[in-house]
Amino acid sequence: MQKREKLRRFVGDILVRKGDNKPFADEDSLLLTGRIDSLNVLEIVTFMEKELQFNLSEQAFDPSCYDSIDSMVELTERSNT
Amino acid sequence: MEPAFRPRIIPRLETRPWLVRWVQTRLGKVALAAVFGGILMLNQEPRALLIAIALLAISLWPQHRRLWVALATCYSLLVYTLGANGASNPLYLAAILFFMFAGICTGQAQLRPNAWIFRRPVRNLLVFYCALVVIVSSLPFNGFAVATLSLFVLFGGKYIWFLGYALLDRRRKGQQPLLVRLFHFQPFWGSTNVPYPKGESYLARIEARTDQDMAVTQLKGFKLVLWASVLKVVLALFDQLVHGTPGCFTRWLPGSFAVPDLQVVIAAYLARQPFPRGLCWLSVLANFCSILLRISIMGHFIIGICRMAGFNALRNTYNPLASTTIADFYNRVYYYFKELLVDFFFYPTYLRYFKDRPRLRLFFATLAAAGFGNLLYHILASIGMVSQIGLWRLIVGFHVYAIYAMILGLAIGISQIRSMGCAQARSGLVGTLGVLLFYSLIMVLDSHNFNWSIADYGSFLLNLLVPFPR
Repeated sequence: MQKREKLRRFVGDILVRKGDNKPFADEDSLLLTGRIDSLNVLEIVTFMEKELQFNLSEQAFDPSCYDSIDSMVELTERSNT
Repeated sequence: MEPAFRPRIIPRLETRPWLVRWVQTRLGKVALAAVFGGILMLNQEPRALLIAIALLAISLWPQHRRLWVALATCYSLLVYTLGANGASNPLYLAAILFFMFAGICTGQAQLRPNAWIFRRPVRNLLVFYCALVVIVSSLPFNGFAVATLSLFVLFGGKYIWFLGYALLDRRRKGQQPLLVRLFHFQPFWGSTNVPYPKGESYLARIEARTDQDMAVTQLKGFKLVLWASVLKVVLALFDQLVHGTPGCFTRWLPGSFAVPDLQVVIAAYLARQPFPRGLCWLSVLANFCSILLRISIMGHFIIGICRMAGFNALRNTYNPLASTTIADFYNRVYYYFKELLVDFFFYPTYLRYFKDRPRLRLFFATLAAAGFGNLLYHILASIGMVSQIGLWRLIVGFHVYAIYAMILGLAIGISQIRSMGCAQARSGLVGTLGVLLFYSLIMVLDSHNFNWSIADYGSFLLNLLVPFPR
């Protein structure tokens, strides 16, 4: 499965767990609009480390980089190059 | 699916196109700022005129928004903070010294973000500040210099988390000029020691970019302040009906349930003249409702004014009675305090320790934030008491809060781990009631009465939960 699809599914699960069943696009802001919170960001970080071989220690951590699916995918791609 | 019609106490003003258009006109801007100022005056906000003028300037010239914010904040600092605290030479000098210190730290962190001192800037800042507190509190002599240094420490307690956010932003490009950024510390829309809403980089991300955005954000702010005003009436009604506190409803509500204040109930219990157990429970629940209402009102006013200034910030308190877990409740009630704990304690711990043990990693980081961070924040927020009772007594006095913070950290940690494994949201009345009951009881410990020990509080709580024969 593609990175993007895996991330979408994982973030979708978090939203459902929070009772948020509204659809979301890849470019939609999730953190700034309060749909996910900073603790969910860490779930995403853990998921990216485990499932997408994302090495966080190589990055300066900035929660705002986890605002949308697009920005998360960009982050994993930057980490792999 | 959302219901087609949902009755609302405050209508959704921002969804009415004609109103959004009108608020963008010059007349609309003036009228909105004037009515908003009027509402603040009715709510006895002493800075209502300053806020209304600042908001009007921001509405009319939004391209200079940051400058207006800085000017209004500077005025508010000079007149309402320094002026109200017996404007003296050491006080002004301490304020100048603090802003110089903050400016040097922020500027240097931006210039040399990889220097050893700025690699972990917040930890170093907190260590420096705590060392300064210890030194100043143990100085054996008085005088102008010591008074200035003591006031510098006091200032630090009020501004340290703002400076912390400025240091976290050290790598961000395209920031406002340094002086403007410094005058976003304790902004004119109000704050506790917790920065509402977070730091400068957050403000930059939520700032309205177009006239349409600005109008919608302002209407949302207006609505929030109206809601805060309604809650203020509810609180007055609650205080009078439950506790019998005289207020504006005395004429219409001659009687009350006369539930004693929690502090009175605990004092009576410790003096071996306890109130009936049922009344003690009512007092605990009333204390919880009162705290919830007060936090909501305070946060709504601050965020309402912030939104009127064109920053689309999330609310500090959002529908706490819908919380399904202990962690969810904390997030819904103290959003910006939780964000502070997450940004300064949770993330650094999480990213550094137990990387290969996910559950322990999450639990340890939560404990570091909700336990240690929470305690440290509250000690630093009470640093003014050092001059009255001394540093050691202050720290000892916080032992009850330390236990409160530890229980809270453990509970939130467990709640986090449990909810991580669930695919669906927990719901149900029983879960919500359990969460509310937990917080009602734990808030008994969230008291800053240094005369009582944990044994006193523990005995009171045990007596509530387990009916011992007396």
